[in-house]
Amino acid sequence: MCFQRPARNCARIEERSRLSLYPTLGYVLSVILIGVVLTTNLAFAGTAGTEHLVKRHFEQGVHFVEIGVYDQALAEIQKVLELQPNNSEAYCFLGDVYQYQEMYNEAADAYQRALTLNGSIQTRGIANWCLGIIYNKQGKFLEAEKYGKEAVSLLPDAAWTHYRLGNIYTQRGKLDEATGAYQKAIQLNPELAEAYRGLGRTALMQDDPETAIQYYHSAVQRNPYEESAYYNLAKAYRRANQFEQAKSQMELFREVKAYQDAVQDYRKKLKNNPSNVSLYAELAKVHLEINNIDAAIQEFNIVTSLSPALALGHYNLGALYMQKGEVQPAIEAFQKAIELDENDTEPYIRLGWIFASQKKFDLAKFYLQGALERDSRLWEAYQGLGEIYAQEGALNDAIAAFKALTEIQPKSAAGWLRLGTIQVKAKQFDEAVHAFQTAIQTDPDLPDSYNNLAWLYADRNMNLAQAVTLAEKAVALNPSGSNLDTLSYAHYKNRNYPEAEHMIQRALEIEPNRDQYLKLLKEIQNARKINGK
Amino acid sequence: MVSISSATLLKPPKQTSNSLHAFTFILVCTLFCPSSANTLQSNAGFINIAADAGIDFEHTDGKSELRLFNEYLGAGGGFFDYNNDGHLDIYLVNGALQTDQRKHIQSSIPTNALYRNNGDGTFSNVTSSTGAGDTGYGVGAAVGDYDNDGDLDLYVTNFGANAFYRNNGDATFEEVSLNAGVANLQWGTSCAFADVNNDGYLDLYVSNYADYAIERDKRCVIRGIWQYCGPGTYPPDTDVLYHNNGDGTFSDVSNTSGVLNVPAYHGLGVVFGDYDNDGDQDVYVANDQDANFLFRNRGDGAFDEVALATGVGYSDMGKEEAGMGTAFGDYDNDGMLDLTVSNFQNETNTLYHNRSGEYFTDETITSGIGEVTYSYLGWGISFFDYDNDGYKDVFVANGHVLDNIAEIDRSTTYPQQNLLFRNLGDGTFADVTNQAGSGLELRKVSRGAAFGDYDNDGDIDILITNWNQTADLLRNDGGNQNNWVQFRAVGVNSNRSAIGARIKVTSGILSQYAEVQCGGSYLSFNDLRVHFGLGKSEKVDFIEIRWPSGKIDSADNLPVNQLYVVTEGHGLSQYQD
Repeated sequence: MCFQRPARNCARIEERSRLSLYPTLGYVLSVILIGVVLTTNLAFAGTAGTEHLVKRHFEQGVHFVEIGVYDQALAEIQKVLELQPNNSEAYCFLGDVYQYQEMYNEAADAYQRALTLNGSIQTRGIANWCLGIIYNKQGKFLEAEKYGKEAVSLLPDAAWTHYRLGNIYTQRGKLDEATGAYQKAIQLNPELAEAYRGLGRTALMQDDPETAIQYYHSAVQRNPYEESAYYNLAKAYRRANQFEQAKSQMELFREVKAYQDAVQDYRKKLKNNPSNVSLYAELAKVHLEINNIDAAIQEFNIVTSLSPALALGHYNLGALYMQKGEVQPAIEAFQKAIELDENDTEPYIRLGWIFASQKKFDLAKFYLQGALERDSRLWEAYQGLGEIYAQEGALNDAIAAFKALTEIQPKSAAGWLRLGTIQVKAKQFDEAVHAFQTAIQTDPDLPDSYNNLAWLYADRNMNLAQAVTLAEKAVALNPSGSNLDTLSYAHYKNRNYPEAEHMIQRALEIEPNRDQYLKLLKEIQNARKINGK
Repeated sequence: MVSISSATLLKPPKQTSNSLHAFTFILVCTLFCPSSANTLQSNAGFINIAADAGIDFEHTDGKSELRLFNEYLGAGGGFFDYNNDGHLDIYLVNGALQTDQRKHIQSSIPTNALYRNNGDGTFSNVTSSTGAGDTGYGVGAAVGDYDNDGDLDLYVTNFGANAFYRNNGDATFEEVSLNAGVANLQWGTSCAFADVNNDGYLDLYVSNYADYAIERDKRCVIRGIWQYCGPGTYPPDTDVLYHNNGDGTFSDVSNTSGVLNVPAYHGLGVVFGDYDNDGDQDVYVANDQDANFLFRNRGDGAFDEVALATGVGYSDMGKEEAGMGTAFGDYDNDGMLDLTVSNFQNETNTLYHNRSGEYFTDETITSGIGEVTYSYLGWGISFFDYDNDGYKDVFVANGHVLDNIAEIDRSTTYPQQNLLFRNLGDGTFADVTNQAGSGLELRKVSRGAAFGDYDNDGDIDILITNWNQTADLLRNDGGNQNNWVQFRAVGVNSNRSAIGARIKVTSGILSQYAEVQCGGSYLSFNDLRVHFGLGKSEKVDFIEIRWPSGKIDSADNLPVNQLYVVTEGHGLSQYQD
């Protein structure tokens, strides 16, 4: 649909290679839905029934675009046009669908037709915009410039119109005009990475590598997944005789290009098999390998759209949202996964942990217990419950949960460690000693186990020499402030005040304002005064 | 070193219909126009005289009507003086029948063709008498004197075993590919000779396209339209470098030379040249929808692939393009070989400017070539000074790969116009196609392009091969209104063809540089003589030749409009017809 930002469809299409055209359906979906909303708000000449039908056909069209079945999408648009032959937005939508199929002549015809109808300024602006892009792609640069300029005059506040016009100017060698257009685009949208790349490109063409380097870095900051920026950064550095930087940018280029090549390979496969959910999932994995979480989310949005009943798709989508730190959509995705498959325990655990982190303990317990109802040996659920109980002060429940965890996972040093820590809080010292000792046996390289046991011995005035040995081991494994603090404390309890003071000073070097350390230092210094040491 | 004092024109310039007008213009310009030749409009133009000259060759791809994958690359050809009579002859490569059905129907077998230049503007088909009419499914060809016996030998790439024709020196050829060890069975495309280790013998680079067999042919249908499959349909194949053992045989050194230290790509165009000016021959390979290769010679015939590091592997957007043809040439006369590559439609041809031999900058758009070439599907390409103004221009042969492209994309056509760009001397080029004569008005499905002064009139003519069509011989009329000089280099310690010899010519304030090159363009080979346009300069002040052996010869104060023979270590002599 050619409403709001739909011409970004054209932009995206243009950027893809001729063998890898496939729409970014998540984007298309959002664009078209915006269009549908607006369309239904428009006062077309039909009845309310007609409007309802139009809306339905648009929605169907959106759905078919989303799953890559373009013939069906075209059929739906035709139905709209039968009902409303002068619906300019429908012609724009038609143009978009043709573009996705690389049918540029047909797309241009559709946009041209849209322009002959009495559409809104925005629709006309975007139709001009798309025509500019298509003609630029076809090498009809004069026409491209004409339509690009018209788009800018109709939509002067849309950054993308200026950016695309900049590209047309660049292709024509009008570098000053191109620079102006890119700068205008950035003025309107300072986050538009493409416009920074455009400026870098024109600077490089004008033999100004220093400026190019600045612009390309700005582009990379905003979009690190586009290989041309690294390629041209390498060229610019080389031209500026900064060979090491050039080399490292070349490496980045290789890395990002390998990623983009892999993506394009999947796009090609998807072009022949647009409803293959597995391919989208594999593609999402490719995105994740380079930490492009947004793109991975986009693929899984398509997965859930293509297969709305696939619980795993929603679960993975939720996990991706979590990775991105977007909690609310993650919750919705996990809840949808549960709705579709109530026996899958993973979303229960995920939700339990999310709500626990939000301090919504009742909800958290609901989901974690729900997980345990389905599988009583889910140690992650016990861990979550244990933490919740600990935070609620229900130490016995917490201990019970961690005991259950360590029964299921007897080799979990972290589980034993956490159990011991809570047992200390519950003043179950002997049990805590056992837990810490088990943790040490289970994982001799876990410094916290040594540290906690050392602290417990020192605090309880038990095995004081051993406390020092244990604390030294913790420090050797991780010389953190807290481990040094424990070592200091063990020395202090052993009345070795100089060593105690030395260790707490080291801790204070790491964390200078930590009250606990300062307090211990004061105690040690007092003890030294009293004992004349 | 010999200084020549007398100037003898080899042949008078042709009388053309506009010669009077041109003469008047030159007179006026001599009096009133700026001295820089490149600011003048050129009066040179091209006319297709193939049919009148007796070049009746018509290429066939086998006409299987099955859209077989190996058909659309077309075939090449070139100029060479096979009988050493001082006149450039023409060799044209042909396809072959590929299906049983056709074999039953067809009465005559297509062959490659050799046309002898009669020296009077006409040619005679001597294919049969010379024995050079290879019947393989021909693709490309290259010439060089591999055995240093004073005549040019001919290598032909085929879809199937390549053929190697040793020149017997008596106007006949003998096929020696098996004995020589160069009957490569891969799908060869462009090839080129050069002495990569400077041992005095020509080595051979062969680019290969894809691992394909007709039995494995696939039918590609896009949006319901059956069309030729793209290169990605079949896996690419590796290229081959043959080292000349000096005893009539070659060894495959692809592995030890570093040519196989790169992935297999769909190789199409190959050109040798010393881009870093260090005295050895480097290789550039244009690959189809893959990154291009630049193999930098370490000096001993072993190579490092440096395309990414030097900026010639990709488009200026870091994308692989469908590289077809390629050429080295010094278009800005700075002594460093620049590079051009022809590409697919909706990709510009690329112009890389050599910066001190260390790296290249992409000048495609700023030179003015990008906007024009974007809509064309380019193949044969070269730098050459068509109007003798001292600046190398660019020609590119165009034609689509899809015979039914009109059904798919009405923004382009199957036959296309070839393009001529005039070098304006300031780093930019002007599209002069429509002012360059009727030969440039043709719209055919062109593939190869070869360059040489077949009529010895002092300007460079063009041979164009066309897919399933007759070949074109574009005679340059009027290029010789400016002065010129040509050199035929003969190696002694260096390879006898002198391929790789670098010649510097200074006349007035202008110095120009060129190498004796074999290969380049697309599937084609050019006149091995080196041609320089001199504008209005009345003499050559100085020439210097750096031979592949490292030896340097020089001469000064040469009369213009001459062909000189320059022999390594023995100086210059005027060529006697």
